[in-house]
Amino acid sequence: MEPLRDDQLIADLQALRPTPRPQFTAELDERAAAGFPRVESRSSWSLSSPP
Amino acid sequence: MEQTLVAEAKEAPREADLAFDRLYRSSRDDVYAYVAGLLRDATAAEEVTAAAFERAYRKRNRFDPRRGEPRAWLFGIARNAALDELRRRGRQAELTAEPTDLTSLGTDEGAEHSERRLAVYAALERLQPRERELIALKFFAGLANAEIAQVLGVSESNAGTKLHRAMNKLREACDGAA
Repeated sequence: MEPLRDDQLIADLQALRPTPRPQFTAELDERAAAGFPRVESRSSWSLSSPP
Repeated sequence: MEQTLVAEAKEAPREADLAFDRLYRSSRDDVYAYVAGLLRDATAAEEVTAAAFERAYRKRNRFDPRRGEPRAWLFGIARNAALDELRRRGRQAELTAEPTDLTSLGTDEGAEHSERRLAVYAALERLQPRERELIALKFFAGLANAEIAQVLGVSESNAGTKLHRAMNKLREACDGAA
């Protein structure tokens, strides 16, 4: 493999950027809109965690 | 002027709420990308991202613009939440990657391109967490060097130097994987 150029490395890093699941962002948006009500535990997040 | 803003923030919590909402909407995916890049664990990244925004929301009236940009303040909170998670798991020294579907990395592009991207992904795995964090802040979250400096509590030139070194390490790790 040819040595990586700067622009290639940066492009690859940007392509590898992790993106959140739509279900997670939808749930977080709801909590944000509600003013982040306190929860007893984090179990509500683990229920919808990725497979 | 700045003192006026601080005073207004204290007197008008509704304005602080609106400012926080703007910060949330503009930074949600960036915070997740940074945390996931640091933790290499999608489930933990979701929990930490949610915890970070909750912490930031509860502290929103205490944000002082004289001490930095809102985005850097938010990422500082996210960083503390991520470090808490690493400490909780006892994984600070040795981070383990969650199995990732590598077939999703560049499958719609040429074979050489995909191979290179896989090499970069594998090289990220071999970096120290501190090095990977710098790259995550810069290229996953899109922070400027000045913002990275605020998050890490170092000077902007120091942040730039650290980032340069981390990129060199990443390039070496890529060459080693080739």
